[in-house]
Amino acid sequence: MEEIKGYSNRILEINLTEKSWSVSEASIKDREMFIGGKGLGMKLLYDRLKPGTDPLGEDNILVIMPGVVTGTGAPCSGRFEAISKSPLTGIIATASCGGPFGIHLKTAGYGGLVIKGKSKEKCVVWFDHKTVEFRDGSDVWGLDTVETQEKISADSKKEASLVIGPAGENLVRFSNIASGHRFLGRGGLGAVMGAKNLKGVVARGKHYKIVPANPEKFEKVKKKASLFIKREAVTLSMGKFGTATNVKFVNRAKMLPVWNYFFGEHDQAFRISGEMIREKHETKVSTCKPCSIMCGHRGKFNGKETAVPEYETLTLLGSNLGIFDREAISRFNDICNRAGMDTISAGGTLAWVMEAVEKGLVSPDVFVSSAGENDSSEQQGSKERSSKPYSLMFGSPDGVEDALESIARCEGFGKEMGLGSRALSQKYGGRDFAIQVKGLEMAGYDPRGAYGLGLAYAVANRGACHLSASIMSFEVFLGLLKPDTARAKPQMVKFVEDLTCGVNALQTCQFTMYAYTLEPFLTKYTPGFILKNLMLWLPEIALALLDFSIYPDFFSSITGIKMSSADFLKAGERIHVLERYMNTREGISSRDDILPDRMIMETISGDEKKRVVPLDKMIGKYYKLRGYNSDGIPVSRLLDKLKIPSEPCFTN
Amino acid sequence: MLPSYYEFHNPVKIMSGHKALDNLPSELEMLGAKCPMVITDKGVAGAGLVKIFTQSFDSSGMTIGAIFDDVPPDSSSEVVEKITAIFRKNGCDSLIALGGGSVIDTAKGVNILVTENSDDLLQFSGAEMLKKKMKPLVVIPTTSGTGSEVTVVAVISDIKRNLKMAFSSTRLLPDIALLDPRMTLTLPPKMTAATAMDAMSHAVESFINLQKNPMSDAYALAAIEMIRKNVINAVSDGNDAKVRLAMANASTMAGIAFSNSMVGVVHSLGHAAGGICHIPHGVAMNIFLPFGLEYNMSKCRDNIGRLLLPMAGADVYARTPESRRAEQMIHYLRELRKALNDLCGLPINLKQAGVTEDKLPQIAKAAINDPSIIMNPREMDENDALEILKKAFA
Amino acid sequence: MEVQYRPIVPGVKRLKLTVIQIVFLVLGRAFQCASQHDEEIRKEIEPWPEGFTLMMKVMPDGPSMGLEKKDNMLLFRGSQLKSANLEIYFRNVESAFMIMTPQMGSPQAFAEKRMSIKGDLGIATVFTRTLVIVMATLYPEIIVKKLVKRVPPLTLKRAGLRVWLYTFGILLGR
Repeated sequence: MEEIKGYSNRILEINLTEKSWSVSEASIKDREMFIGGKGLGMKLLYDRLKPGTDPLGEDNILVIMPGVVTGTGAPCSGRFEAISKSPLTGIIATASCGGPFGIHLKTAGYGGLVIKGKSKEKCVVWFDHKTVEFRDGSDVWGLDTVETQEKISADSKKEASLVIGPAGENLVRFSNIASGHRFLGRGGLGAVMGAKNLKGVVARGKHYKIVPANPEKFEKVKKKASLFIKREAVTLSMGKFGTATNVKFVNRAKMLPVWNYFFGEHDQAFRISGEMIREKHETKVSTCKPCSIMCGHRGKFNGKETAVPEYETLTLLGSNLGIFDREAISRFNDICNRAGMDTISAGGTLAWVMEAVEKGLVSPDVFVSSAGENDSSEQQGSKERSSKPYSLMFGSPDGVEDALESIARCEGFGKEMGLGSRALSQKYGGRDFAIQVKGLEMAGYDPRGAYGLGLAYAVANRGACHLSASIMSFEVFLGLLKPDTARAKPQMVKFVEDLTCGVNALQTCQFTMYAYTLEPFLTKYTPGFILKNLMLWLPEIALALLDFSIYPDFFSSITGIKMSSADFLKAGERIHVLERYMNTREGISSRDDILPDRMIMETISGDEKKRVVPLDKMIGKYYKLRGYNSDGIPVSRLLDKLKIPSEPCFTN
Repeated sequence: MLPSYYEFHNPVKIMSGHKALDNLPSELEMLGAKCPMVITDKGVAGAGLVKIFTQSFDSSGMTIGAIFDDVPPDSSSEVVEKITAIFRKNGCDSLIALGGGSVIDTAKGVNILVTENSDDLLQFSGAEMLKKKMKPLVVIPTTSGTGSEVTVVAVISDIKRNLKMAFSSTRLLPDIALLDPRMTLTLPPKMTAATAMDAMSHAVESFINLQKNPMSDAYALAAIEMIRKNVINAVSDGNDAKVRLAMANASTMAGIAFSNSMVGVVHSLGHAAGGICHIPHGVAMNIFLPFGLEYNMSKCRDNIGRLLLPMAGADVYARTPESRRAEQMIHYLRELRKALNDLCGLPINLKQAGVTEDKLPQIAKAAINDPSIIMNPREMDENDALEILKKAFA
Repeated sequence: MEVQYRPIVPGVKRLKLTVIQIVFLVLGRAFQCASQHDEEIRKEIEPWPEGFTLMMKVMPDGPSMGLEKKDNMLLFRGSQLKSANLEIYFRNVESAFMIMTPQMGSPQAFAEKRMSIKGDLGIATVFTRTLVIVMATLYPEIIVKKLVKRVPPLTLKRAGLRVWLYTFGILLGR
C-alpha cells in the first residue's frame, strides 16, 4: 500500500454538466492558513463560487473535505466536512459528518472533492484513486438512504458513499446527505445534490495509507488525547448515555424546548433522557469510525434495532412538539433518516406549523396525506393512494409521521413545509414564533436559559446553530460560566467560535473539546470557584490560560508544519471571518444577526426570573471584538490582518 | 351543570401538614377519648412509623390502649373480631387506624362491632344498616390513594363463609383524617404510583358520573391537578416531604369527591379484576382508567374535556381546540401512565399485571354486578365489559 | 291578645299515596309475570338464594311492594312484608311519586338520594337492571329512554309480553 504523509493537496474536481473531472492542487500556503476540513474547503469555495449564485442552480458548488487527522487513527478522526451554498438559508452552509466517506475519500488519495455543474440525467458518481465514472442513477432514484447505499456501494469494505434520500431528490430545503448511518445534517445540502441530479457519490478508498510526518510526536499526542478522553466526565457520560445525556441538564436549566419554545421544562422530560433510553432500549455503541467518545448508539425501538435518536431529535421532534414517547420519536427519526431530512429543521418547522394552526394562520384542512402506502407495499404494483386527512397538534404524535412523509415526498402542504419555517412564516405570518435565525431552525437549547448561547445563535454563520459556539456547555453542563448574564459572553463566544472553526478545519469531533480543554493540568486543578469568577470577570485571562495545545500538536505532528496554539486559534478566526465575509457578500448584515421575537420579548412560560436574551447588550461588544463595523461587516483592516484576500482568486 | 338535586356530606376534620401527628392527643381529648386503640399492620410497623406515632403521644398525658399491628393485606372478619376482643378487654374508647386501605377498613369494622356490641359483622353489611353513633375514629393514612379516610364504605371479607361484605353508612365516616408527610415518606415508588393512580381514578370518575355535583367537582379538579403536578416527583424522589404531603392531600380530596358522587365502570372492572385475579386495586385503576373514559366518551365528552385543564395545565387547555380536549385528556393520561411505567414499572395493561386472557369473561361477568356501575354514565353490559377488557389486555 | 302556638298536625297526601299504591300493584304484578316469561330477568335472578325477599317502600310508613324469589320467579307479596333481605326506600312520598309515575329513572333517583338501599348492594345492582327491563316492557320507548341509560331492545317476545301484561298479565299475575 502506498503512503501519504499527513495529507494530500490533490483536489478532485468533478463537473457534472460536462461529465468531466480534473485534479487541482491546494497551495501549501492555504493549507497553513486554513488547515483543512472546513477551513480549506471554505477557501476552495470562496475561490470558485460567485456571490448571488442560486443554491439550487447549476452554478452552486458542493465541496467535500476530509480533515487533517482523518485516516491517521487519531481519536475521533473519522469526520469530514461539506461546504456549499444553502438552499434553506441562502448563505454558506457547512456540515460535518462522521460517516465512512471521509476516510475513503482521503485514502483514495484526495485532500478534497469539488462537485460542480448539473447532470442532465439522474446520476451516481463513482471514483477511486485513478479514475472517475459517471453512472446511471435512475434505478436508485426514489430509494431511501439505506437502500441507496446498499445498492451503489456494494463493496462495503472498500467503498463508501454519500447519498441523498427522497427528500433531497424533491429539493426539500432541509434535506441532508447520508454516509453510512451518519449525516451531513444541516443547511439542506441534500437538495444541493438533488438539484444536480446527483443521487450519490461513491469513493473507493483504501488505496493509500495515511501516515503522520512525525510519528513519535503523533503517538505522544495521541496517547495524551486518549487519556484525556478516558478521564473527562462529560465525555464519559456521553459515551454511556449518548447525546441524550444532555436532556437532564437542559431540563434542569429550564431551557428544554417544549411546545415550540413556549415552555422550558417538562416533568416527563426524563422519559427522553439518555439514562432512560439506556435502561429501556438495550443500547449499544454504534459510532463514527474511529471514535473514542462513543456517543452514537443503537437500540431496540418498536421491536427492532435502530439508531437511538440524538439529543436534537429527541428535543426537536419530541419535547418541542410536546411528545415524550420514545418509540414515537424513534419512528419519526427513522422516517427522517431514511428520507434524508434534518431532524432539527423538520421538527422546528412542524412546531411552527402546529402553533400556526393554533393561531389560525394555517387552516387545519390543508393536512392531507396519501395514505395506504404501507398496505400497498406488500402487494407491489397497486400504487393506488387514497388521501387521508391528518392533524398536527402539540402533544399529539398522531399526524407527525404523515407530515414528515408528505414533506419528504413533497406532497400537498408538505411541499410548503419543505421550505422551512422562515419561508412559511413569510407567507402566512407568524414570524415572531418562527424559531429560526437566518432561515436555519434553532437547535434544542432555549437561549433564554443561557445568554451566551443566545449571542452564539444570533451571530453564528450558518444560522441558529448550537455548534458554532457550544457555549451552553460552559454555561449549563459544566457550570463554569454564569448563564443569565451578558457579562463575558461576547469574549467567550468569539473564542469558542474561533476554536471550533479550528477543530472543524482539523476535522475532529467537537466533543473532544471537553476532554482536550478541561483535562489539561491547569484547568483541571484550578478550583471551580476561581475558574468561574475568572471566566466571568476576567474572561481574557481565563481564555489565555486555557490549554488546547492538543489540536495544534496533532496538526504539526501529522503535517510536519509548525503550528502554535496562537496560530491555530488565528486560523480558526480566519476561517470564521472568511465565512462571515462570504455571507456578507450575499447580503448578510447586523439586520440578520437577530433572534426570534420569542427569545428577546417573551419569557419562558412559568419562569420566575422572567428572562429574555439581552442580545443588544452583547452584540455591539461582539462586533467590536471581532473587528466588524456596526453593520456587522468585516472591515478591510480585519481582512488584511487575517490575510484574507478581499477578492477571491477565481479558478475556473 | 347543576343537578336537579344533590347531597354532599363530609364531616371529617382534616388535619394536614408538618408534625400534624403531634396535634392528635389534644384532638382526641376534644372528642372525649382517653384510651385509643391503634390498628396498623406489620409493614407500617416495620417502616418505623409506629415509633414516630407513639412518640407523638409522649408527654401528652394520654394512654394508648393497645397497638394491634397484624392486619393482613385483605381485611377479614376474623381479624376484626380479634381486635374487637382486645378493644373490649383493654377498655379502649376510640380507634386510630394507621395504615392503608385494609387497616382503615378493619378499623371501621371494629368500630361497627364495638358500637353495636355484636360479634357478627354480616348482619350489618349492606347500605345504611348502622343506627348507633360510633366511637371516635381517627384515620392516619400511610398510602396516598384509597381515600378511605373520608369515605362511607368498608369492605371486609368473611373467609369462613367465603363472602365479601360491603358496608356503607355515613356513620362509618371517621372523625378525623390526619395527613402527616412523615407517614407516607417510606412508601416505595411502585406503591406510590399505584396509589396515586387510584386517587386519580377516584377524582376522574367522580367528575364524569351521574352523581357528580358542584362540590364534588371542585374537590375532583383540585385533586387531579395536585396529582399531576406531584406524582412524578413523588415516585422519583420519595423523600420530598412537600410532594408527599401534596399527594396525601390530593388523595383525600379525591376521596371526598368520590365519596359524594360515587365511581363508575373503571371501578367496576377494577373490583372484579381484583377479586378474580388479585391485581392490586391501584394497578387495576391505572390500567382501566383511559379505557373507561373512552368507553364513556359518547355520554360525557364535555366533562372529560374539562378534565384536560387539571390534567395538562391552563396553557395546554387553552391552546387545545374544544373539540379535541376530551381526546387530549385521555392522551395526557396515557402519557402519564407511560411515564410512571418508565419510572417504576407500573403495569399499563392486564398482561403486564399477570392476568391471563381466559379470565376476561369471568371478570366481565363480575364487573356488571358491581354496585359502582349504577352511577356510570353509560350502561355497561357484559359484552361491553368484555370489549373493554380485551382492549386493556395488551 | 296572646298568640297561641299549637303543634301543626300534618296532612295526608291521599291522591299521591293512592297512585303509588296502584303503581306498586301494577309493577309488582308485572314483575311476577315478567319473571316467568322474560329470559333475561330469569337469568339475572337465578343466583339469588331461594326465599330471598325484596321490598320497595315509601318512608316512613307509606305503601310498600314486596317480592319474594320462589322457584326462580318473583312472587308479588303486596304489602305483607314487614322487612326484607333487600329494602329499597323512597325517602318521601314526593320522591316515590316522581319515580313511580314515572318522571325520574332509578339511576338519577339513586344519584339524588331519593332512593336508598339497605342490604346487599350487588343484588341491588342486579335488581335495578331487571327493573329497567320491566319498565321497558311496561312503557313505550319514548318514556323509557328518559329514565334509563340504555333502553333494552324491544324484542318480539317482549312486545308480546307487553300485550299480555296489559290484557291479562297484571290481572292474573302470570
